[in-house]
Amino acid sequence: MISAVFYHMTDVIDFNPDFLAKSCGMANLTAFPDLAGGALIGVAVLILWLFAGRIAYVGGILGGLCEQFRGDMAWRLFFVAGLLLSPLVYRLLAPTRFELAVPSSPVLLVAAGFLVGFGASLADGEGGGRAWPSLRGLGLRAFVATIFVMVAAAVTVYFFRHLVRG
Amino acid sequence: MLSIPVAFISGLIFGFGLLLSRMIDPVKVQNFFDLTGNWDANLAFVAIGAIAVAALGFRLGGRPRKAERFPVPARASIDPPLVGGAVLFGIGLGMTGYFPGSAVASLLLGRSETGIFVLAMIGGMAFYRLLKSGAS
Repeated sequence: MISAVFYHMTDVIDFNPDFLAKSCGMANLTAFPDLAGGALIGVAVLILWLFAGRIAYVGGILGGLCEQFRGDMAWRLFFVAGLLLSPLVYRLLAPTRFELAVPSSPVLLVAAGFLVGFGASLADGEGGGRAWPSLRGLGLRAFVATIFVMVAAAVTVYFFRHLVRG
Repeated sequence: MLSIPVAFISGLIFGFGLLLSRMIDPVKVQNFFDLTGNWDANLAFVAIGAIAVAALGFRLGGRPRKAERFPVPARASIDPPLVGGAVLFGIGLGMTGYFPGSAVASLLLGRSETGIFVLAMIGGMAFYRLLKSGAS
């Protein structure tokens, strides 16, 4: 019964964003797009921190948009707009198909979305998206949060893939 | 109003990073956490790339250029909400493989599943604020 409700069905479609790796003659090195993608994320975080004094934590930036009567809505909206438009701009720069294998159980999607949104806000406190005077303390919080997120995610994946389904 | 173009460009580049590294692929994200099954360790390279660039930049760049008065952070230590929130986030992440950023970045690719996730996520964020405003 549980497995019927939570059955994690995916339809796998072709997904090939590795144009950059190929154009650099590095198609066989699978770590390349991952490293380069990570570096881009690092650049984005740096830009927002150095030129706007904000932490690029998407959960916190979105969470701030859910609050009323805030004075700092504009930059949040524009960050989210950039993120939203990124696949379209990316496709203009390089023809790419972004068709993905996505989970398709609505119950699972709603439950997971709610947990991610609530958890991000609860953990965030006053950190994400806010202006910070320095990074002191934030690094430790982010590190500890990351450890707990990873352990919980690994246990959850194990539960759904190997216990419920298997 | 420098923060507006900066925020837009930052969001755009953040999205490019998620797209290039395929972090927007929920199954790839789940595979990273599937240690006993179809483990895909490549997501670690995304973290290495991001942390290397950001850490170097923070070290060299120092404090923000913008002379703005920053509000003092309310919390800077490890507390139960941080741990509890991280665990709930991790459970949700494991269930579908969507991060907040990856879900938003793939929203306009037109899959209704992503839309359902994003709506539920915003619901969770709004619900937290409802509880908080009720408690205070």
